[in-house]
Amino acid sequence: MRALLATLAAAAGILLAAPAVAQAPMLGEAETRRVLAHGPWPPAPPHDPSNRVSGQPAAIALGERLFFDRRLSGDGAMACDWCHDPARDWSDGFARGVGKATLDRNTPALWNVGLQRWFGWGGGHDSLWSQSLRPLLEPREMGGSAAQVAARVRGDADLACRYRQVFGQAPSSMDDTGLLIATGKALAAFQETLVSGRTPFDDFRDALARGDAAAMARYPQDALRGLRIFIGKGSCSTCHVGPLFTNGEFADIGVPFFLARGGVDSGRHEGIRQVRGSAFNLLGPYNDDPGGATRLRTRHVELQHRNFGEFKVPSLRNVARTAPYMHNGALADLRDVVRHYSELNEDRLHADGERILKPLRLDAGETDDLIAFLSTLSDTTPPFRRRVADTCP
Amino acid sequence: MTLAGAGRPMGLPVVGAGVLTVLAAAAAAQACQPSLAGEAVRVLRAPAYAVAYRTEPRDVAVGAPFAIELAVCAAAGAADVDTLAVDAEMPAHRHGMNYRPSVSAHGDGRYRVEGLLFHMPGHWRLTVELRAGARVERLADDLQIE
Ligand code: HEC
Ligand code: HEC
Repeated sequence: MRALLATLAAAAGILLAAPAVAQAPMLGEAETRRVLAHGPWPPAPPHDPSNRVSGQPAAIALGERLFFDRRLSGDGAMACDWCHDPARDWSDGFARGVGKATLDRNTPALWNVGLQRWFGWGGGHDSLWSQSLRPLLEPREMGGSAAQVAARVRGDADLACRYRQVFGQAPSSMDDTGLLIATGKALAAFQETLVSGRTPFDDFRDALARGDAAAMARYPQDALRGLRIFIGKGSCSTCHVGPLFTNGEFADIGVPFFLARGGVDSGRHEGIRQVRGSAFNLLGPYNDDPGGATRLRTRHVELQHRNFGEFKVPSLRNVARTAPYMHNGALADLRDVVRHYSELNEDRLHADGERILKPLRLDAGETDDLIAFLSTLSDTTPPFRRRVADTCP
Repeated sequence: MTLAGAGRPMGLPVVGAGVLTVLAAAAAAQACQPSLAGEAVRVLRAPAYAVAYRTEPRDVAVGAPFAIELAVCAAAGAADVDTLAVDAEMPAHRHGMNYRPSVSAHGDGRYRVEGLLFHMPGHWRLTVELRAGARVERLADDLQIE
């Protein structure tokens, strides 16, 4: 920590001492600290102790096969990539997901999903593997069943071979539930590999850390002004914190939560109840972690009145490419998002104390700057290519 | 992300802070010394009790669960503590945590509190509530989380 502080001081010192550098950003000490907190990137590869095959190459390969395998759905027509399309940043471009019917929520991009701790907009799942079971069973999504998934896996030579390699057991000797859980864990192992790449923001952040004014100057001026709004008067980094640009928790930012089909989406309130009621949660028998760390959040999460209408704070990495936005896809582009924060309806937000969210009343220039900043959170990862063929011996 | 005292000098009880309390706290400081060794231990004092604690991990990060190791002592003549509870809130925003910490007693005034998580940067107030018979004592510490 002390070393980091020394670096910070050095970086700040260089900034102050070098006004001659063309338009060197004049970030104060607190601003510098906040910017640095949004890195470094990439992080250590995700590893999930609740999933014993997390990180294993054979499990990742099996998970990739399953992710694109339409036979896992009830009618054999839909796989995960129906909605989480690699060519669309693992989302679908629709406001709300479209399966057998239109769903209530927006399909999240799956970038960096392995680094999250709550899954779904309401955090209705506490592990990536249990979240991955939901679409298999949900009638409006893939509409299958444990028995059906198990039958498909047992009947396919390549899949059966891979399960044996990964789980040390032939699918024919595993019961339906055991096979379903195994399927979720292999799917999770694959999704953990979807880590987004470095971005112009990361280059700026690292240049700031090293005090490299020349490299810092390459960051666009409008993005830099937007960054200062983000960490400053916008208070955006209060919730969109850290390298992932999310605290991994939930908040109400005044997005309406009425459902198109009637009723309301209570978001986190329902999410907590769902997690607690799930046979597949981390407090149950399918958690492979002998230690207690993976159980901490689920054991201690508290259902509170204010959870009603709270939704997960989404990561902002690659956000410019994953429109439309919010849990219900109600906002079409980043300009709409910035307008939302700029014109917030305070009466909609229940806050007892000092408000974190206030209407920002940004002018046109500030709006453009904030959008420019958000656009520097996009990587240039080459398009995804499927790596795994039907080759298990 | 460092845990650092904000505003109030460390060890000053927030509840009912006043000259008398400060004097009493000073007296209590001599009267009882909670047994918690190691680095980065913070000490909170009320007239009859003192609490020493440290967080695990030492640096608390936004959005990451942490635990607290805690030692309590009672000044001469004060009743032993029956129960202890820990909570935290952001006074400026008047909201607490999203998690309810659990406390396990390990004897000799030692406790371990698990399941704490600060979900936003800023000023958090950690409170330790001690119950000894009918008496309730609240101690607080102000923390700046970045
Ligand atoms: C019909 C569209 C659809 C299909 C098919 C689908 N998903 Fe999803 N997915 C969604 C929607 C919508 C959500 C948001 C759900 C919520 O918030 O409750 C979601 C959420 C997720 C999440 C949580 C992401 C986050 O950021 O919290 C994961 C992981 C995920 N899906 C994986 C899968 C896997 C694996 C499959 C295949 C087994 C799959 N999905 C199939 C639409 C779909
Ligand atoms: C109080 C916490 C909080 C603050 C402060 C905050 N956000 Fe958010 N942000 C959220 C939540 C929660 C959502 C999702 C809300 C929903 O879906 O209903 C969100 C959604 C978004 C999205 C849409 C992402 C997506 O994938 O759908 C963007 C972009 C965004 N915020 C940017 C910002 C910017 C820019 C600021 C500052 C002006 C900001 N946020 C301030 C909590 C916050």
